[in-house]
Amino acid sequence: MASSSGKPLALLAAVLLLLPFLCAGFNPDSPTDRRVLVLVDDLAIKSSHSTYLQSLTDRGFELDIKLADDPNLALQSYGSYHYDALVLFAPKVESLGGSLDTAAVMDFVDSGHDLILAADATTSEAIREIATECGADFDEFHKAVVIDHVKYAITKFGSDHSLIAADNLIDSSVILGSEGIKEPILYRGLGHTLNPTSELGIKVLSASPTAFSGKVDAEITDLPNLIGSSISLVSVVQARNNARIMISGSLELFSNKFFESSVQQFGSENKYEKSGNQQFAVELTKWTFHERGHLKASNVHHHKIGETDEPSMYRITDNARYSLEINEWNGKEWQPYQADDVQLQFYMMSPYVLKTLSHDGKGLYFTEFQVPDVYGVFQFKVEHNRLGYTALNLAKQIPVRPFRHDEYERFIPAAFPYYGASFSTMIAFFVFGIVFLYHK
Amino acid sequence: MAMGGAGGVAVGVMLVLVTFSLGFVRAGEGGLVIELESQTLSLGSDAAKLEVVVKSAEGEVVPSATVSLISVHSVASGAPVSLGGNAGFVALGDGRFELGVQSGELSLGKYKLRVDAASDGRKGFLATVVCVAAKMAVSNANVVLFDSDGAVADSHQEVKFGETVTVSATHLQKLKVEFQLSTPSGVPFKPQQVILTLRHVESGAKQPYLVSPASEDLGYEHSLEFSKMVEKLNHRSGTYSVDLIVGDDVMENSFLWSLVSLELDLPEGPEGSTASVAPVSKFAPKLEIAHIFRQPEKRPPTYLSMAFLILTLLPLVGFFVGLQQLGVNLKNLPSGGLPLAACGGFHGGIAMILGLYFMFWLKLNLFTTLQILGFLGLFTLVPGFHILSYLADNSAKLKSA
Repeated sequence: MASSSGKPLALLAAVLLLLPFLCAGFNPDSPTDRRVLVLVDDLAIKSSHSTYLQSLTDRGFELDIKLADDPNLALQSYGSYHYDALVLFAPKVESLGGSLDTAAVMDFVDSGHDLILAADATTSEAIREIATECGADFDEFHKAVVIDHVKYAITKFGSDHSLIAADNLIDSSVILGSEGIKEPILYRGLGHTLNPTSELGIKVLSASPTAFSGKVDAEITDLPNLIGSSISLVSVVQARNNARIMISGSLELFSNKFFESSVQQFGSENKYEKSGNQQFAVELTKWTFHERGHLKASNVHHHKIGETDEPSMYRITDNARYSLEINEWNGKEWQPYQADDVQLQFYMMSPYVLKTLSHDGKGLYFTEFQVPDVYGVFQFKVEHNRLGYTALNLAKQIPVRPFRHDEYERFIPAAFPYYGASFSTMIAFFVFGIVFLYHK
Repeated sequence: MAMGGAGGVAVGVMLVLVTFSLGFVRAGEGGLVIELESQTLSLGSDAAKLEVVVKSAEGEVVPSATVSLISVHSVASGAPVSLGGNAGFVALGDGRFELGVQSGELSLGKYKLRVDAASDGRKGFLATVVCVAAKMAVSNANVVLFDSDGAVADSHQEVKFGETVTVSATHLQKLKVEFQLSTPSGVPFKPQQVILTLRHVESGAKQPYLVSPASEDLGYEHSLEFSKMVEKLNHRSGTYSVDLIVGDDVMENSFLWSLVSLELDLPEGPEGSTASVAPVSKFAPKLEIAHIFRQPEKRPPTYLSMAFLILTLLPLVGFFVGLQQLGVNLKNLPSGGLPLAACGGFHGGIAMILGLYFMFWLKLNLFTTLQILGFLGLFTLVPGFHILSYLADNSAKLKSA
């Protein structure tokens, strides 16, 4: 009896001891993902997309490449996730294997994990549904791909007009890297639109005004669902919990074949020896896996000018100083964040003061301002939402009180007649008292 | 641009062979790989060349090989097409081989090709799709502005390809755009993509329309009836660009042509319908806000206050003068002993209370003042009671006496 109850206890102790190691994958101090689950239709992707996958391994990611319909797939067990990020390179899979479905993938994202999804000309309902949940609607038109008769790519794969050389990139060095992408990007696949009501989706690569989404070689009988530069080819989403999602309508964009291909846009004189695909895919993946653009605020401090301690309360018209440190994760370490547009709000129902913070170039942001002459419960608010960066939302509550009765001005010249009258009455009273009592 | 204008001027016949990579299968049977040298083969006036490179699987150049075109099929119909008798490639050296193709043998469209190569027992084949493309001519492009009834043309302008005409219109008018597309041989051509977009230049808002052939001879026309589009265009007046996009796989000069620059005058919409032309970016920094402090009320000048201060002090002076006139004396003051001490204590206490009030004005706060006032009150009470009862007793004695 004693021995049989001892066994589960020993097991429990072992699990408790191992728990810190099992949870070691995610660490708020180093937000880069570590363990990545790659789901594929066909294990041939291991070789056809090897350059891309190798770039991940080289940067220290632990890749777990599995077939998307593997019956043993599981993202989590007993509430803890096995992976930090999911790469869905399985556009054709009819239904994901194991415990994976749309809801499981969305739960994974909702708990702050990252997702890369690539579609193809033939994309299954299961994958479309996940993309829709992320806010990207792939064109539902039968066999539709993005076709551009004007800006298609001339490559050694021929010049099918559904193979386009896209160069309509978002202007953001945090998303695409500081070097910028000069070469056109080879793209063959589906177009999508971002839900216009979604505030979180960002079009990274869009089609040219001459593109449309339709079937190759077929006559257009109705106006295509997607036309022109509103077609999004590659989009990213940054959720409110800072989970990042990349959605591409083309799986081939990540392939070795496209990485190494030369590219020339039809009608353009410039012929590039190498397409921009590799740089684009790698840089965008760095962003998606939090190797760039992840901000952290620390050392939030405020005090009255002339003091050093943080007061529990301010008086109206006090002069206050607010400071904080902001650092950016560069994939290896925290570096000072440099921006001239970090703003502080002194907020009660609406901002009473909104000021841009100065910084010292070492990540310390500060400002001084006079507390308004309105009392109530205020907040120091820093809401920093910039394209490509994680959102900073800091709020610190602070009450502001009115003047005490003895903090008002005492010697007002305009009131001197009143003071004079009072004191002359007092003197007269004193003298009159003596005279009244002792006069004979 | 060598494009024809109004009369369909003869266009340089530029039939072109374009490989179409539907399959682009390169199979190395026994180690020969065939690649098409370039995708765009210009036929020039009448002769195009199909050029291939034959390599071994290891990438070495094969100097001599027998390369032949095995079959050509039309993709659309599936029917085999004959390219004439000469289906053998001519060696050019360095592993390159070419085959001359007569333009008359091919018409626009896509063709499946199979090319075989053999050399020293090694074999290889290439199965691919080529596309025969040409530059199309745009002719008879007209922009016509109609009245609301559509009967009389207000203006009629002919546009040369690549040029833009400027038109002003109101919502009561109709704009008709018409043009014709034809192959170099003059046959009407029907491309896959013929789309007209109406783009508001300032906001970038677009309205696309599919343009279909109007009649048997494949003349294209499209009418923009502005009265029916006011809602769709969000009542936005201003400059619009009418862009024509024409494209097809077999068209070598697919284009986006800004045909008309349109000054459109639309009626004002109901309030709020024209708002939100450019939504404010949620990523941009916000405008700074500085709190406006309440301004202190305006006060009278100091000299005026001082004059009134002196005025308020005048009655005190009058009081002293009056006392002087009355001939005040202090003969009732106790002559000595305890009553005199009590008298001193009482009036001293009152003086101290009045002094305290002065201090309260100068610097003390209410709490310390009340505290001190309590002590002073008690201190004044005892001698006050003593001196007042002493004085009352005295006056009672005086009366009874």
